Amino acid sequence: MSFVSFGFLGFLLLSLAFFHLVRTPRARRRVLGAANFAFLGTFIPDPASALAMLGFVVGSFALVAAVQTRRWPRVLWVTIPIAIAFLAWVKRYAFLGLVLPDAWLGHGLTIVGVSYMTFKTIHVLVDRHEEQLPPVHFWPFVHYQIGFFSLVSGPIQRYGDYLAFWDRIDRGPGSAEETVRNWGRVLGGIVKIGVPGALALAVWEAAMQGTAALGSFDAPLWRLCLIFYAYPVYIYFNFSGYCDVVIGAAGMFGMRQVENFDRPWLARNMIDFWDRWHMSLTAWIRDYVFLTSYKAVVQRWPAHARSGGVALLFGALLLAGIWHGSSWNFVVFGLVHGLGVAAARVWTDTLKQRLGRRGLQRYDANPWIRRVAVVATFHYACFSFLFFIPGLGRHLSHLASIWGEVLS
Amino acid sequence: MRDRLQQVFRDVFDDDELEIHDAMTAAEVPDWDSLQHVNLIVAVEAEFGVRFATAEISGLKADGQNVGTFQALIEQKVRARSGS
Repeated sequence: MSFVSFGFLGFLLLSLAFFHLVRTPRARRRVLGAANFAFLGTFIPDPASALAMLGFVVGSFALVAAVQTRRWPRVLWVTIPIAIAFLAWVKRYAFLGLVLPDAWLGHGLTIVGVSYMTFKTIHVLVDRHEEQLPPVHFWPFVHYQIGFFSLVSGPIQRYGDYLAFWDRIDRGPGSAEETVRNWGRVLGGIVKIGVPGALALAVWEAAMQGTAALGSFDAPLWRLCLIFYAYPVYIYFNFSGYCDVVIGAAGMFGMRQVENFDRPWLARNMIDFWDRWHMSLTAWIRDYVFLTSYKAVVQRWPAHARSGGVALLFGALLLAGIWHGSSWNFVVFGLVHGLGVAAARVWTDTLKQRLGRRGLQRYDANPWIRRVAVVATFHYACFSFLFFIPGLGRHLSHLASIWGEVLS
Repeated sequence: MRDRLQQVFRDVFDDDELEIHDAMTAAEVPDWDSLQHVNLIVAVEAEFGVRFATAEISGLKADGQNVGTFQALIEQKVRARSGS
């Protein structure tokens, strides 16, 4: 179901109407549960994919149940790799073709939101293992995984926050102000996707077709620039618009969904960019990849903490890039982002060594340095999005043409 | 407890003039980024003989958290360890 459709608006209105008609929390849970299943049903293409989805949800709960038995201290060493292996198999990552026979990867299954559900599963496994979550029960966990407020592309909500909503499940916003704000968020998100997002995509597609007809090296600079700038603009409006829709929709049911964007194009370096772009993914990677591994480095090799921290930042963003898609271009996307955050870290450390703490504060406060940094970061991020679309050779050819035009 | 915690902060942030107080947040200390946050946690774990869970480590930098809540969590863990 597209979020920019009368079908989605009708689904939302109908779910809200039933949600407000019933009186008890138990009945409201049933209404919302039915809405979740109905929404999920629109993304299931065939019975085999339905079975795979069922297997994933039940299987991920079985992993959580294994952790909850507390019989085996190293249970995470088995459960987390199982969750990641299933994700990699379902998404048919290109690198798996190097080690697995083609027949294993030719399954054709589609599980909507499988990577987001895997992130949620790993979070629940770790936090439950460390006794940071109360006992996890089947139905709240199922609706946490398939809830239509985050099924398709996140945000990656934490289980404790979801459970607080699921247990309380009152009638949603009590004030007219909140209701207006939530509807404004939903409609604003739909407009973002349908107007500037769609326009930027149309511009990018037209520029790509025109360039393909001419060949990268004969295309005019303005057309190559459209390719360079239009796709990141499209991604931003499409994804942040989607987030506005689901955050507003969740608010109508009384759920506070996590924010995912904070003016990313104003970032002054790539670390700052990831603090503002897809924030729930950044927080997940920080908590379950970076913090854990960096803590191990600091404890075991304290003399190498600084260089280890830079290397782990690089690795964490490389992983984030690879996660975004199954083809090789996403490895390059991850490499570019990994290099960007590692360079930002090394630059900050170098400035601190050269200028001292006070000097670095003066440097950060300088408005001209900030403007230059924001423009440079924007262009670096746009450059990275060249690798967000399959067709690595074509994108490198566009880039070479842009440089050729600029330098000629 | 406060004096020992203050010394840990001064060692980690390499600032002998750093004065911590209950309402102080991570945003008020310029160097308190993700790397230094983990350095601080590891130093606190070593100093007080406690261990923080993943969710606690990230939660300590969340909105509404400050040095006062951090110290309260350390005290709670020290009490739990000593069984009192």
